[in-house]
Amino acid sequence: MKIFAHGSDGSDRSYSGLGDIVGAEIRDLFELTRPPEPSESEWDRVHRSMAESMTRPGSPWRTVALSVAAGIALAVGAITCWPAQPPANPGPEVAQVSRSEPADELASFPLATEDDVEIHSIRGDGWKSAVLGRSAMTEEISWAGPNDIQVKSSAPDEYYGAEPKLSGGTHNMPVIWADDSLRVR
Amino acid sequence: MGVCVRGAFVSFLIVLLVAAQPARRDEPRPVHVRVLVIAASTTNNKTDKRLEKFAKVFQKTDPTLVGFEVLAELDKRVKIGDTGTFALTGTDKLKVKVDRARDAKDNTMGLTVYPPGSGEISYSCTTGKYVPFVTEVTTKTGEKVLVAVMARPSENRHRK
Repeated sequence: MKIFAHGSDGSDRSYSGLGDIVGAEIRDLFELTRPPEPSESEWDRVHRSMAESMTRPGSPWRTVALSVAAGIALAVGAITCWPAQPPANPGPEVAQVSRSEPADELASFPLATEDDVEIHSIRGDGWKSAVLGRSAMTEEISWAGPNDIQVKSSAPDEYYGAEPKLSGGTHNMPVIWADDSLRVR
Repeated sequence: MGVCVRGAFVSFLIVLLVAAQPARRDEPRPVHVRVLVIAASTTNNKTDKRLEKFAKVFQKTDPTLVGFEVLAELDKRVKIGDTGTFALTGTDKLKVKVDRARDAKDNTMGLTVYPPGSGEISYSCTTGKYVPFVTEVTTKTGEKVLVAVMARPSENRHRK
């Protein structure tokens, strides 16, 4: 079957089937709206820029920065994951009875000797509790005698202005008196 | 520009991570403090074999004590500068403060002991040795409660 049709541009056309009528319309519309084809030089420019971008080497600064960042990240990871000493268990507020180790059942507890202990201070009634090392703290006090002291100089108190006095005589233990009742008013 | 911002952000995160790490390697390790609670009797002359040396020392201060038994062995890890509390009998507690870490020169540690009902005693002692103390505490059955305090550095569990 052959069909004659009047085109939109006023021309008469003939088609060999019904399907060609639809196809011709579409082809007409396509021709009317077809965008301009890039020129050969434009296609060449696009191809060149694509080829350059695929073969371009990375920036050296970018490589260095990435390497440094990777190194730092590895170091941080190693520090984080390194098996450190686990935090000590603070334990209960009041210590509880511990299990006796088998070795302790037979061995005697190591007792400190006088040489192992050095007492630094005792406050309050603590001297009653100390068993070792107390000899150094409670030994008899030896007082200075009259012949052990020789006064070379003295000065009045800065605030009260009182002159310190040494009393005790020639036989008694010397005592330094700083009597504030003698202060200069 | 975007790379710079991203790099700065990553650096900030890394610094944050490093700063968040606890300074556990330089931190002094807690001290292992052990307290022996001993019951001393004036009537029962039975003595624990492990306490034979202690008995002689305690008897110098109080010859009426004839029998010595271990009531409890108390363990606690105490940080340097902290005070550990050890329950003796009933509500009576012994406090032990760790004043000083082990001195490598003479292998001693500094402690302050606060026996119940008494004042305080500050001393240094060779590590691993028990120092005996007398307390004013008695058990329900009338035995005198004595204590012995030992301190030593904590063991490194990773080096076995």
